[in-house]
Amino acid sequence: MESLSGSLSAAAGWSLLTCDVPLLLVSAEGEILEFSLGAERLLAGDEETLKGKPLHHIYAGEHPYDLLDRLHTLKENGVRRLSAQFRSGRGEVSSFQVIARRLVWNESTLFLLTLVDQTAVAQMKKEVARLKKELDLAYQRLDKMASQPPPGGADTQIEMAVLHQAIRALLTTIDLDRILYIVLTSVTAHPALGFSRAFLLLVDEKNGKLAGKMGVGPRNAEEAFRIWHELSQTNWGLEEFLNQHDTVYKDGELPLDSVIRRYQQPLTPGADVLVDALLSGEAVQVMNAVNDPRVSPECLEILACNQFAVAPLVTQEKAVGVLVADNLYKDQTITAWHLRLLNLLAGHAAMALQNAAMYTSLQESMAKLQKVQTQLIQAERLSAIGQMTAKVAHEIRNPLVTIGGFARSILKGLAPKSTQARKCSIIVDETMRLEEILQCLLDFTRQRELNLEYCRIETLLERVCSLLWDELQTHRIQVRRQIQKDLPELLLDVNKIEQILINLVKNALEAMKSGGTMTLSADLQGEFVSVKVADTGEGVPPDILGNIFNPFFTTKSEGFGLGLAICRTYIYDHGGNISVRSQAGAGTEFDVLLPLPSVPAGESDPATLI
Amino acid sequence: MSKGKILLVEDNDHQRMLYREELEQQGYDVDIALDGDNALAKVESQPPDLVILDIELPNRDGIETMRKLLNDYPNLPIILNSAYAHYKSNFISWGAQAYLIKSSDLSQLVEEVNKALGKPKEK
Repeated sequence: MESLSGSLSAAAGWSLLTCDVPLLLVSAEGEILEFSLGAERLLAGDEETLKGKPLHHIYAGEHPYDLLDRLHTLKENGVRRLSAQFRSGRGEVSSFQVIARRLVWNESTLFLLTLVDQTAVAQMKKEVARLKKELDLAYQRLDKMASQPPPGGADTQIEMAVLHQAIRALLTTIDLDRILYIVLTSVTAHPALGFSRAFLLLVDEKNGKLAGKMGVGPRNAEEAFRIWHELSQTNWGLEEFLNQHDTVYKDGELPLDSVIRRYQQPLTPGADVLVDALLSGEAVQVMNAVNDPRVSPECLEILACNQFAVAPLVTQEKAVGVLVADNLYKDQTITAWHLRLLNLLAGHAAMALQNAAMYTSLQESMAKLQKVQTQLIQAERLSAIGQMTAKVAHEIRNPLVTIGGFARSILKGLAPKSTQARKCSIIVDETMRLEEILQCLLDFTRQRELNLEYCRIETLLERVCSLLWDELQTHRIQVRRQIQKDLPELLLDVNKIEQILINLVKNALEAMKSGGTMTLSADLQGEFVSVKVADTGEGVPPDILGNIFNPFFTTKSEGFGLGLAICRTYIYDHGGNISVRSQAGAGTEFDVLLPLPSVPAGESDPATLI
Repeated sequence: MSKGKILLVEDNDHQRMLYREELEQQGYDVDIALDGDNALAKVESQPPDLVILDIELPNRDGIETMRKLLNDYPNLPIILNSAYAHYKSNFISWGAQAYLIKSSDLSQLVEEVNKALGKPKEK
């Protein structure tokens, strides 16, 4: 069988062993005859675990032979996409999409399996489904609560009116800041609970703390009296107060935000009265804060108020924060009735907050899923193009070598500068040009290795500018640099990144035929350094923009449309990303994200990081 | 005087003619083999100083042939010369002297041959 697969490989024009695409060649009896380097990597296998072994050794489906069974239903030379699970050499089970092809060779049946890893996608889909279900449940609960009167005592008529208004408002949004604002406004607005100030504090799970988030109310007595005077002239309901949101909420800050954000307490029992309210889930009324041992000095200093009420924001699952309200500047005692209203509102607020959190995490999951899917599609597209290109390039290169080679050989025997020699040189030059085109195609599909070293992005940008200085001058391009100082060193394949930057700068040059400004910027964005190349050219139409990174897509009369496709592939190899934005008449901006090294420069030998 | 003996393993008639002409002009003796099995037999009967191996060959492909040769003759320099361009890194690590992508410009091939035979491979 081995010679059979060997000769098949030879006949197919490539050696299966060295192919980077995960391939398995399986006999009719289900024996793995050959596997590619790609399959070896993907399945964490080797000669021991793969070659000559039955397919069902690595197959992790329901029945050991059902995959082989499904393969046998294929017609001669038939191709089918299947889903299958395989067990890797490390024992992990992963889902794959399998592109199976039935081949017949010397009257024997063989199956060629191409594997596409599905696990990541499947996991994301499951997570999104789970989140969707949770979100639906949360909505149902909220609807139910909004339509039923809240459990309450004697004064339910007013309570219900106020709470219904607040809850209706809460249901209209999933924006966290807006929810917080609605809650605080409901607490302080005169037609509602009418407290003087209200603060929201949320649990910071990452740091195990209760932290101040938002505050509403007057900053001092003078302001308080002015506002109350103004309000006495109006006849506003809760809705009018809520509509004030956009005018009050300037620059993402409310006047008392900075006050409450100083509050940070660990989530340990006894730390402070606010933390205790959160942990116990019980509303608390503090009547004499100065002498109350439950109130920590920090809390007293921040609130600067002797009497206040605390209501925990608790859902069925967990405590998410606390709501604090007081009557500072207002000589009015907080009543048990006020406390109850505050507590009821806090319950609904907690639900709305959880709802918002779920929505955010759903959105994040969707974005991740979309990214994975895009990469998958891109990988499949590249793999198909790569295989075709390699085959075609191979077929073309062989005769080219002969044509050009003999032309060179003839040229050596001809008198220099003779007509014959000139004609022969043309053949030599033109075949060379064709070979270069092939090389360019193959660079794109070839197995890429990164030659990583630590370097500074500003050094690279400077080098690219000096390389292209003459062209920039000729085109009358002004270069502006906005490079963040002290950017960390990156671990990059310097040649490849330089090639990318040259490509982007040249694109900018071409977009500004009659002069303009090119802006090179670099700054830190989370785990990445973002490098931007922006021009002030005509901009790229949206239909072209969507195709700009696709291989073989070009609007130029020269070239093969591989420049940006190669750029993206190289950037993906680095674990980065590239995106483009363009506006008609205003210009185009390419944004390259390059990841920070897992070990900063100077802390380890780069060779050990690859 | 011959600068060394090269076994050229190439199944394409035209290319064989082309390489042979160039290498002989450079002063090397050139023997030829048409496929992998043929190459193994030739190396055994008339050991060359260097082998130039195509990858796509009938019977036994260039990679299998190289593995076998390196197993039996670990010090024999082998230059892989293929119209395929996407293997490069692997083969050098497997022990090939060089991996060349076939080109009508034979100067790189000549350079690699000179390099291999000008300085004997260290044991």
